[in-house]
Amino acid sequence: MNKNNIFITIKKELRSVFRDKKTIIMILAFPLMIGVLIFLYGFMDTEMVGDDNNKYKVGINYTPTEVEQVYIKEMQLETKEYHSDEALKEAYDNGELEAYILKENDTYTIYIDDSDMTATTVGTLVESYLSSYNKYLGDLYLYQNNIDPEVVYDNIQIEFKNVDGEETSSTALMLTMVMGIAFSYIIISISLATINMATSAIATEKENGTLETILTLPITTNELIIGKYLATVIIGLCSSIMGFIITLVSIKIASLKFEIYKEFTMNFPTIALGVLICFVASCLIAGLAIAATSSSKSYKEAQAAGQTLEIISMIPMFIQVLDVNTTTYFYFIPILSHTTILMDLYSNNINYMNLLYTIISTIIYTVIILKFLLTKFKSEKVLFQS
Amino acid sequence: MIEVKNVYKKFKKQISKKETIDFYADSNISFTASPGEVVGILGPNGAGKTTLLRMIAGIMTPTKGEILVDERSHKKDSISIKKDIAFLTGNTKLYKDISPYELLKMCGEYYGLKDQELEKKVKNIIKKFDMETFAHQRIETLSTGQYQRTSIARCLINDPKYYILDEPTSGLDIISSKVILDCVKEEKANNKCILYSTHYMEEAENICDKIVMINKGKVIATGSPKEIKKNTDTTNLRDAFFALIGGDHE
Repeated sequence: MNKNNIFITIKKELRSVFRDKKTIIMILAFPLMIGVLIFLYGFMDTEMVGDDNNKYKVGINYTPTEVEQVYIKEMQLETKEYHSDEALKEAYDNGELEAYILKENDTYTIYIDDSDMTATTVGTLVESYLSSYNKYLGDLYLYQNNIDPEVVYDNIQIEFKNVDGEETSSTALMLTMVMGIAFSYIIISISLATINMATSAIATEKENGTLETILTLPITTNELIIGKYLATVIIGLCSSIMGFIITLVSIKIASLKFEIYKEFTMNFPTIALGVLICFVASCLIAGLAIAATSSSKSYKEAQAAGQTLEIISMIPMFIQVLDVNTTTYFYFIPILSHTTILMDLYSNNINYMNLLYTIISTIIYTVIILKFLLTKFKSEKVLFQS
Repeated sequence: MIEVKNVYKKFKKQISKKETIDFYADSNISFTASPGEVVGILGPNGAGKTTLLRMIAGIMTPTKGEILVDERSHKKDSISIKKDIAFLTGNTKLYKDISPYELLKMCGEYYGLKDQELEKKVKNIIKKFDMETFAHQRIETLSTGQYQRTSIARCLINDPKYYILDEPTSGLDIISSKVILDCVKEEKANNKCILYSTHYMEEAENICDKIVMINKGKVIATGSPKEIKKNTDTTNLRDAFFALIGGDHE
């Protein structure tokens, strides 16, 4: 096998790709969506949890006790006292308040606009503050009468436990899902980029008649296919590395602004392993992309054939969203295993045996696909079916 | 010398969804082509000319028979044979997103030419075909004439001993055709062997030393244009062809 011919073919394919704006957009724009997703979730989380600097303003017509002030602070509320009900209503009408509470004897009435989402949230927070204060008053009464409140209230205990033994908050679950989608995007970006590349490297060449021209040159079919395959791997790798970098950089930047990403720690060895996974995934998916598009006679046919692979590469995303528990068998299923390993690396939960299974199984699948491709392209029917 | 010995090429032809039949594009084709000779492969569309030339160029394999180029066969020496051959078809397609200069360099690299030697050759060819004005333009922006010149220039990069030209003037105007016919004459004078397939009988009569006439995959006549006309008692190759096929032209 002439390495020079393989190198010339890679150069030719890459030159062709990097002159095509569509492919460049495919390589760059799609991974950028990962960054958008990470920031979007950061904003959503802040909106849901609230921000210390962004308290909800509530007007009241009474002076809260010290205990009430503790609950008000806990609920991210900022109360402002008004001496008359009219002044309070006027402040609300002027948009200075998100809600107001009128107290008469022991009755607290919460006023909100229930057609407004923020006001509904504020209403829930005010209700929580008053419920907590009500419970405090109940506890206080029981203590004053020498009764343990736990005996009165806590007849049964309710707890949530993760099946893995660790308690998981809904925020952590949501974060896992978002990161699962982000890492699935990396694998999807490989399939999109490689299908585009394989289409132009094989089907478009057949359609345009340039495949016949190149076959008359002193190059064997094997050299030509391996050259095209390696060029496709490079494109897949570029796209995935771009996605990986954007994911890491986005999380790093987002951790400065959003509390939820604060605990992100991915060190150099885990990043290197992530790059290795991107590489093996690119090797496999590039082979699958060429195999999927090899029988197509035209660009359109090849794009249609590649859609199957695109859909397959989206499966890991659904698995992450549905939070399916993975077993060792997952690590033998290509594409699925790549996303799972990237998630393991992110959550610092690396099982080196699973990593090994993923790499070895991917290499085996890739070799099988390459052998299949080299045999398939020996056929004149495949080469001249345009 | 190119020797084509009893060559057959069989394809599967689909006649219905489930049924296929064997179809011979070429049957028992034999002829030779020597240096300094222009051999015309003549026949109507679908006669089997392109399949035959593809087999000689080494991009298709004969089902039966043997093709030797300077006593080498494609089975054993495909790459070394390809280095001696230039293949040009009338509808040869070039990569649209590169320039003629880049195309020539790429082809030269495949032929194993290196750095200065390659650069020198590319520059000489660009000069020879008067391509300076468009050598660095993208191929997709070239006119038909410029495109055709680029196609021929590509064939000359390796200074081949053999040219396989498959209907090279098909669909071209008179000026673009002249560039090709002049090139054929010049390369013949340089003692190169040229296989020239066409269905333009008059064109073949003008430039070919020897004719191999094919119909429905079979050789129906071989010889110089003069001999074929004499044997068929006709005055031109067109009439000779019809005389040879008799009523078999449906």
